[in-house]
Amino acid sequence: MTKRRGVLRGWVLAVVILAAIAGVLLVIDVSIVLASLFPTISTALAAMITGIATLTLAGLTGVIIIFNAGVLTATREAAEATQAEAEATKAEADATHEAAVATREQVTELRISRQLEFRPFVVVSAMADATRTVDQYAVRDLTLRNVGRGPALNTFFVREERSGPGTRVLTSEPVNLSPGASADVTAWEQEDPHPALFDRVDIPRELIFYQDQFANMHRLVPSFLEPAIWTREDDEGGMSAEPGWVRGAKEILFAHRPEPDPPSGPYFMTAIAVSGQFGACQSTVALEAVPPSGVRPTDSMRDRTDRWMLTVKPGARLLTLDVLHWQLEMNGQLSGEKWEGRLEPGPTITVRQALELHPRPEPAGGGQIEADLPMLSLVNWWKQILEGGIPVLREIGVTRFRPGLALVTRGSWKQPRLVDVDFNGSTASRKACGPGTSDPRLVAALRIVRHR
Amino acid sequence: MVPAHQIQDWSQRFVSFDIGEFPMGILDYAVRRILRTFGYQEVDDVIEALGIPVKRGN
Repeated sequence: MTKRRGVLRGWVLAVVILAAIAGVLLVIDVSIVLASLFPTISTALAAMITGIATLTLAGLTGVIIIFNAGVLTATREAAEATQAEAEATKAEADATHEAAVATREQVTELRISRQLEFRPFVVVSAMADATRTVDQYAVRDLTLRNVGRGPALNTFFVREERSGPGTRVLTSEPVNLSPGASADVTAWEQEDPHPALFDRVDIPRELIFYQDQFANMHRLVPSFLEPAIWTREDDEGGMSAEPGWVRGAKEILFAHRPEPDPPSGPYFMTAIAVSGQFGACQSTVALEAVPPSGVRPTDSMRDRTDRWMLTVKPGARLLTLDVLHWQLEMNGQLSGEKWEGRLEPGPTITVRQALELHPRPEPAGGGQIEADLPMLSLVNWWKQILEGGIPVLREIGVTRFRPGLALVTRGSWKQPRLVDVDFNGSTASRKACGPGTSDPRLVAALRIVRHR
Repeated sequence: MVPAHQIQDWSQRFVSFDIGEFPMGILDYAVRRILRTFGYQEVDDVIEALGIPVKRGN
């Protein structure tokens, strides 16, 4: 309406101005005509007409001013209306923004509510009174129970407890627990526990870790009802934002370390032991089944091993049918001094051989004789026993095995002092690597650099 | 170059393997350890010359 009134006034003003101009022109024309018809009165008439025109123009100016004032008012009113409209639009935008914020908060609340509704809560419902030992590892049995309303995923238990002068960490394998479900788990001693899981310093200290179905990670100290939670949104901050317990839990869950190998049996450990007294420098190759059995080898195992032992060492003989040791005959009786093979529970196959050291020239001033270790023959012997012994293990029913090697560098039977290695007979013979040698492979061996 | 110290006894219990594998890596490890016991440091070429595939950089 305001705009229409402004337009109307504009038109009226234009009409008035044109009419006034036409009127002035008419008066001037009339004065010119009268001046030409009546020259005697022309001067007075001209002055009168000029006065009339001036007054008319003054009146016209006043009319224009009045009309302009109206137009300015209309313009101001239009501007004010526009401002009011803008303010209304802004208020509308503010209201829309507030509505959007409210909606977002509502969604967040809804999500939190849903997560709370389906939040798992895992407790230790039972635990053995003491840590026991299984295969040299400390273990503790316990029961985990999910008393929350949502599934608990990748749930595991960690306990650090005193062990001698230090501590040890026991960790259970991850399990999934539906609401109300429980699981009997065993926490096993870890060889390489993650150091950053715990915040508390008291020993023993325990933690339960689990994830909910919304990918939030929970850490709960048993008996404390407020779990620490690392949300999926928190996780978007990257690894640098992760607290130690999140990093530790992820490492345990997602970079899951292989289970430790089962421990070795006593026969294997004895075979590769190097402590104690030995008559001569010697080496041992031992092969045991994994996991080892404590059962005595069967007759068929013995017979298969016997055939192999005779190929490894012609002339070797089985001591008795009960004592499954193969030895060489020396001075009319069997002796394990130079060589011995064994088949023991595990099954464990062991071959031990005295080393024929390469003696150095006797020192001019006397003293202990020195000798070099025959590296090539030692390596070839290791290869021979491994390449022959592994198929024997397979044929007697072993599917997984562990090798062991031992080297005893001293002996009580007038043994020379071992001072160096000798590659005699090898293409990389160190002895041949003197000045003037032309074999490129021997030259390559010259790269041996002794560290001092 | 005779080392002044007594060469120490050496023993190694290795990890387990499936029966189909030949654990050639243990020979590399064993020879390397023994040569280092005698004071040798750069041993890759020697180990290769002994017919053992070398895991470089050990």
